[in-house]
Amino acid sequence: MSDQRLCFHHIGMAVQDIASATRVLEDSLGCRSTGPPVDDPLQKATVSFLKSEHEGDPTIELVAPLGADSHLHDVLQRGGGAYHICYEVDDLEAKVAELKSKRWLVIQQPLPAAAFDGRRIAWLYAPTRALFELLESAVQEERVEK
Amino acid sequence: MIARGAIVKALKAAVKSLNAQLPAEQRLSDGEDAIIFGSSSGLDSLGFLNLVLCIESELEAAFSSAPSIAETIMSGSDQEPPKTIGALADFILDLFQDEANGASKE
Repeated sequence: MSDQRLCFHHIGMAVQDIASATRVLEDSLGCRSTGPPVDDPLQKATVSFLKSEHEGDPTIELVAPLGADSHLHDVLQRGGGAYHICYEVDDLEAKVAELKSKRWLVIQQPLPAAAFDGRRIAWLYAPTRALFELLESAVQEERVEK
Repeated sequence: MIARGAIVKALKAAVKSLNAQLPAEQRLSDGEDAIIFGSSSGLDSLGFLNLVLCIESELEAAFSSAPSIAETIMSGSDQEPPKTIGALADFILDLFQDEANGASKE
């Protein structure tokens, strides 16, 4: 395994309607939305983040389909709910290449994501049949800008 | 030398393995002409990914190595990706032969 930093970032939950899911989770779990939902046409999704009042608790990303051809419809068809885990990495390309060599399927090569202010994300499917998102760390982004 | 029939057998085993995870109405046929990839296969995006993993796993089990088929099938390459078990078997056979030819040249 490479020695680069890999930090848990969030759990993604597929929902049909972000506003109603936000109300339920805020009311039931005491978490709070971090801002208004963001439409991301590249990812064909609308996303919003919820943070717990307890520091260190994982962030929840609510994800709803944007457009008729969004893959989120498939996830919702299967019941929706928690469907991906996101890790933040320093070197996105290197981590994608490493996982690919370990027979992870690269579903989407790095692309900018509106929900992360243009930081790039990549999507991979693990041999354990689980979906993972990799997010380029802010540090990496600054390095690229320099 | 890897025989095409052995590849077809591995592909059929992969389809069987995937079908075990699918509801009856979504199961794939395992005939050589059965369409297993593409929109007319009836698989959703997660089913598609699971099928690719099943195929790579069966090829690995059968031949102790498996060419990565994911990239060809998932990318929008110039060539039309194989959609049936038969076409995929031909494609994989070519990959194995390319690998063997490459190894013999080294």
